[in-house]
Amino acid sequence: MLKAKTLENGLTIIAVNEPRLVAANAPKLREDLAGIIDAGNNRLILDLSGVDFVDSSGLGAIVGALKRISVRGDLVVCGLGQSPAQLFRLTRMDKVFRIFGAAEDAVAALS
Amino acid sequence: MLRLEIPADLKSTDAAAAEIRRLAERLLPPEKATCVEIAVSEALSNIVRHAFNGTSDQTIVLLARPGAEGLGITLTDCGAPLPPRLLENVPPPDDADGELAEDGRGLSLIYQCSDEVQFRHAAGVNYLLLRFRGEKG
Repeated sequence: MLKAKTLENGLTIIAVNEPRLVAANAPKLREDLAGIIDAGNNRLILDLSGVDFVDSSGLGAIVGALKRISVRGDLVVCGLGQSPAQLFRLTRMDKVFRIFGAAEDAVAALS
Repeated sequence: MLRLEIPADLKSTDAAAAEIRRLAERLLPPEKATCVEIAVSEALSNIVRHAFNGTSDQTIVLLARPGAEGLGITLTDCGAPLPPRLLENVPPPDDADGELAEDGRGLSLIYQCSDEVQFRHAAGVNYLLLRFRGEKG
């Protein structure tokens, strides 16, 4: 579901290889994100460019990862398509997460 | 009119929400079609988790009726009824037990994304009507 790549500057880009982050796979998303964080990665860029749809359960898993990192690091989001971006706006998560257009933009901002 | 008989499990309900999205895209602007998909997805997940307690060999019947004013969707199931108090004070989705809540936004999103929501329970059957107004420009 997730493919993580850690750069030399310590940033980890997490690509999501699921077109839908929903109630059916949110537990797996939550578990995989927790595994990446617990392995010591705490400056994360979550690349959702391959995701077409997110529901409240998928969003909850992403919020859970943000809370798990807490003050130890950062979790930003990039690559939001029309539908996921709309969910972030509806829930005001666009005010909670820093959101970038592409992964390169997030890397440049966080480096 | 589109009629789907959906097995009451989360994978099947997700596939149904995606199918309704494809129908909505033909009738409504993209942002409204997203509203339809979000509301239907959240409603179906709620039915699986709460009416059927997460698992069931029963089905949910979805009727989608395109009309002159938009799209009407009715979900019917024979699971446990929604507690009435849940519908009395639905918070906005950004205030579902605090902005960093990990769950509890589903019902709020259904109301925010739909132009009309009606729920009734009669003779052991739950009926949820969602209406979405608009037309593709």
